[in-house]
Amino acid sequence: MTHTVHLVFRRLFLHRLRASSIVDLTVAMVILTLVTASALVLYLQVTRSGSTLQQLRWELWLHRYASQTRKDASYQNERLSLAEGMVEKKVSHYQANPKLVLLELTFLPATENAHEKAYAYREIIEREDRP
Amino acid sequence: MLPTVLFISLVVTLLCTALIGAAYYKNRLLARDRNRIVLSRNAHSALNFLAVSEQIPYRQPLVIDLYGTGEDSVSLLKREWGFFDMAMAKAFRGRQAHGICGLLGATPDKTANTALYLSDEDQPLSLAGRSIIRGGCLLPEAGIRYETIEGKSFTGEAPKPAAIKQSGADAPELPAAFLARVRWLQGLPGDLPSLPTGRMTDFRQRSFLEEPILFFSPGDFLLSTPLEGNVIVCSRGTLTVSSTARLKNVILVAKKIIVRSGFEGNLQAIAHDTLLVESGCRLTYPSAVAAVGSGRCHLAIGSGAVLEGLAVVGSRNGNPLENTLSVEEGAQVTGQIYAGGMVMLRGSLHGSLACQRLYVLTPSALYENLLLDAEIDLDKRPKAFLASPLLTKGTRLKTLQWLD
Repeated sequence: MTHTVHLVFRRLFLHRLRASSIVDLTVAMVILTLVTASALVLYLQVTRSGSTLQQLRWELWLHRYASQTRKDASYQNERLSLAEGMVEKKVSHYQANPKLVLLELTFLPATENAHEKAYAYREIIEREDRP
Repeated sequence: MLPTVLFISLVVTLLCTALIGAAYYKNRLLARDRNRIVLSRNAHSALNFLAVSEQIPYRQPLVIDLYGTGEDSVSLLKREWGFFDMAMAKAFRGRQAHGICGLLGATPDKTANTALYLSDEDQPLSLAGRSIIRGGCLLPEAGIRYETIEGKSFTGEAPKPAAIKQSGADAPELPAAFLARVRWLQGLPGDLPSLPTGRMTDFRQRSFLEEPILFFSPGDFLLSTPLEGNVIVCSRGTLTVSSTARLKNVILVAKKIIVRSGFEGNLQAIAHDTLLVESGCRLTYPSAVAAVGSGRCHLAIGSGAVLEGLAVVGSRNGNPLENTLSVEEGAQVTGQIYAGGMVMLRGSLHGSLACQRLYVLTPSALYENLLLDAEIDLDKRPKAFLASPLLTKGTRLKTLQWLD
């Protein structure tokens, strides 16, 4: 048993490593760096092109704001300032039809990050009298 | 050394590809989901547009660009569905599409918001027993008389004087659009392709996004098959709906229609002369029963039956006083009764009634313009009730039911 352990120890730690030339090492490092860097860039590009949790939150907020507008039948243009940005509500007649309202909501984020773009919500609703 | 590095690079590449693939897939799913939400909103917007656009013709598809940006295309279609209109909107974006279908009803007009319209034939309205009338009324100039009939004196609730106005001598006439729709339905199958009733079991469910299926029977027919959706059943004879039939949103057209006792479902039934809803039936909203033809028409709602929707009787050119509609004791109608003829109301009506004359037939006598133990309560009609667009004038169309 002791003999076997000794043999394994020798084979693992005490045998002589094969040397590589400096050219080999340089080529290997360049390949590894290129592969890792390009993978990282691609991954970041893909993840950044999608929606962020923040954007989804804004969308949900606009949905709620639109349903509140329908419920309250409040058809005035409005601007709401929030900590994260500004919401612009624009109300107009759809195709000059007084029975239809075109509701447009736009969320303009306060930050200037390129990927945090404005989000717009559009809907045609039937004009109701104020409850 | 180099082979080891190449191997490690390959592993790193594979790992990164998997990560990128997962991120891409997540983004795609999110984008598709967001697109679906936008499509659904566009479809609902288009349906709102269709509901207020009276000039859109029936059965002619229309494609519109909702916001003029070329991104939000919607295809619209309006179709007749019994006494209501059916609207379909399909929104497109890229290769994704989302379709919705809704039954359109009309907000009640002046007639539907009047608890009782009774033509002025120089006869007062008589009330006896536990009769109740709540809501505005248009009554004959002779007013209201309280009677004791069959030993029952009046102990109910008369309409408040402020809620009573004088009615005209004219009988409630069925509007031309309503009669045209009935004529079209009663002319089916016409040129339309139809299937024999024997093939019913192959089409138990039909989506409203597809073309309707029409089953035709040249003679009497017993309907006991479950049917749902975009289905019309026509018969030249008597169409009997078995109590075991499970029907939802279907249209029945026949010379005579009998809905057997115990039936429960949702239908629109149009008979040429007679329509009987037997006791204990339950026709859920938005159901409609109508007996409209060129001669004498009779519609009866049996004791204990429940109808949520619309009941109509009338004729195209016959004597209106030959048309009768009866609501037996214990029966309940929630919605609208519109009769170009005589009505016997012994049950309760949560809604409105318009008729030329009222009557009560007892074993001993026939009484005219009498309500005996009847209830007409407009306040009990649900606020969201929508009437048939064919029986209302100048009111708005709204979605009363989402179809598949």
